[in-house]
Amino acid sequence: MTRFAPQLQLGLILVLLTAAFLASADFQQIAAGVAMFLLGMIMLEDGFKGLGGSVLERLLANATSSLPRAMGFGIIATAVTQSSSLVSVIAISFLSAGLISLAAGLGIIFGANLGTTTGAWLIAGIGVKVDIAAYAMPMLAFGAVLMFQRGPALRGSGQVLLGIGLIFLGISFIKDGFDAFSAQFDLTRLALTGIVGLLVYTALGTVATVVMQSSHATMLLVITALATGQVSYDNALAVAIGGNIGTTVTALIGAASANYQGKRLALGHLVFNLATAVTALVLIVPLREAVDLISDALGIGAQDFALRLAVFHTLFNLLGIALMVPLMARLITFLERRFAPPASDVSKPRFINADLGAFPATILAAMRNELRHLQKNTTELVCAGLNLRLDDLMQSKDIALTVARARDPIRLDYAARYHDKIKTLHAAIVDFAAQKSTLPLPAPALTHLQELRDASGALVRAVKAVKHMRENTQRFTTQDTGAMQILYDSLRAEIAEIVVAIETLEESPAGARSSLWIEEERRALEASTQHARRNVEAALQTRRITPADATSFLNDSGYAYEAMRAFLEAAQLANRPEDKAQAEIERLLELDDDELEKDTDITS
Amino acid sequence: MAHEKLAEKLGDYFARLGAGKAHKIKRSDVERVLKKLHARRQKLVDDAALKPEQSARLAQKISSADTLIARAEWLLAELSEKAPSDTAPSSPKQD
Repeated sequence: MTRFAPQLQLGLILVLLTAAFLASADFQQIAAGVAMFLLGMIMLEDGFKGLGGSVLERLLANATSSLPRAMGFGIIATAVTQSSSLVSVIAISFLSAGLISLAAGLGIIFGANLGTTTGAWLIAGIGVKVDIAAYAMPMLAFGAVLMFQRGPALRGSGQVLLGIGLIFLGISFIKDGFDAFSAQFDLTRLALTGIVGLLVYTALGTVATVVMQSSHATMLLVITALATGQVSYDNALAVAIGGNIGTTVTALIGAASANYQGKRLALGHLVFNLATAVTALVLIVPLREAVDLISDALGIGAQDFALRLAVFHTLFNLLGIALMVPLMARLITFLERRFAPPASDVSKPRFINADLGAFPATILAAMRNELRHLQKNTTELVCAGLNLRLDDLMQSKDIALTVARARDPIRLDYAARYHDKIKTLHAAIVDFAAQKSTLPLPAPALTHLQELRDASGALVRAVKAVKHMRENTQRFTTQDTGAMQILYDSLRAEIAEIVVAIETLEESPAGARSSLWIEEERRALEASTQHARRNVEAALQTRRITPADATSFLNDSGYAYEAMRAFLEAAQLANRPEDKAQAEIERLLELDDDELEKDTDITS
Repeated sequence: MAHEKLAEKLGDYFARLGAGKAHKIKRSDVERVLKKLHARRQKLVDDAALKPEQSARLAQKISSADTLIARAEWLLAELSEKAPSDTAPSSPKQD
């Protein structure tokens, strides 16, 4: 039965709409107005994504260092874009990508709730009082011309203009529809008073917002109905409260596919809006009195209920913030307990997920963090595969000595560990890169996205190469095997040197890092490859090793150098600077393999 | 030609730039990279003085830093020759 619930819901809405259209031609005009308004909201959101998505991302990255700043960002960004869902989506993607804290994410959501009340002010202050359809016409015409241009900025501006035009036209349609409707019907006869009225109209506001997927649309309908006398002021207040509850249902549905961070934020949003709504319902009488006092002080007319509703909308959202900010620490503890990070036996992606949208900086940051996650797993597995411990190596002052002392075999199922810790993450990274490559991302972002995917592939190659040499490494390094032990230890030490160099680079501040430092390791590796070949030949010539052992070692040193090259390739691709020009320069300056070989020959 | 491969890569870069698929490089960007490379080289020289047991490995690294510095200086000269202003030219030199 639940399988068919969406179809049943859609069918019911269509039947109800058809019946209402047959009953009243004016209702058709109101419904068309709502449709235009919703279409306008979608256009506006898409336009802002194209026009300023990356600007919003940059602002967000710098504006979340404290709770007031995060809330300020939420208020301003939502007031400017008139889209709390766009701001919420960016906040969820930043949180999922590990770029902001849960506290900052909640701050943004709280701020967005307050910022969204500016919509009520615009509708009540201008929308229902001025003939805004007249402004809509040129906007639609200019918007359509701009929308068909090639440049993303012009196209985005066109979508924003078209969006505003459609919103204005939609408001005008709804206003005219209600004017005509009120000549035939008096909906105020359906007004309910007292607690029943409060609860019924709150539920109506919730349902309307869930169905239209927009609290803005609910506010528009109720303000216009209020301005044309089709709903009582008290019932309109309840609808506004219901709108706040309804908006969280959309967020909860969206968070169903999000990672644990997205779920935490969605539940935080629900808690905030429910607590605000319940408080507003309980305190409705003093709140109404406060609205009257504030409205009188602002010079809002006693009969201007539309603007008074806007005052109420702002006031009760402010009340919610005042109520929840002191409880923030407890809320965060609750959310973190409710949605714990995934267990670590099988590595699941922590940063990349479907909710990251089409924001280039967020996508790349999530990919970099996920790649770092994979790199950590890879390094630990490769070290364990060679009977080494990463912590010991990182603290070592003499890597060769630390390696020579590591004689105890580390028992592990290498293939199972590869499947659980590496393959699942690599598959997720490849899939994520493939999905995001279909988006219209800027070319430099796309190039780096593909580099990060290739880095993931290189890490997998490193793990597989070490798998091939593991058996002989165990055999020759866990007991005294003379010259073979020395040779295999030298291979282990070289891999360890590279692992430590990469980990040290990763731990250095982002601004001080450069993918060019990896060139030094590549050069050192090239020189040592040539040196190792000479060493084994010398050992064979002096009969310190048998021809069979020499063959094993040559094969395994091939795997070891393959692993080291793959590690270095991954580190080089992953450590491109965020500055696009610097990244281009570093790509140019890197040496190709044959250039490196020639350069090493000349200097060695 | 000392930097034949690098010249080829620069040509590819200009082709990508012309197609709007690469970010424009300014001379000041190359100068910033050069500054980082010189600082890095100095750090390696200092390390070599402090850690004589790693002198062979560090000598390789210093040599690598020298190669990169030479390549960056070549790149800077190419950009300066083609565009006197602080921007990269839109096409490579044909020689």
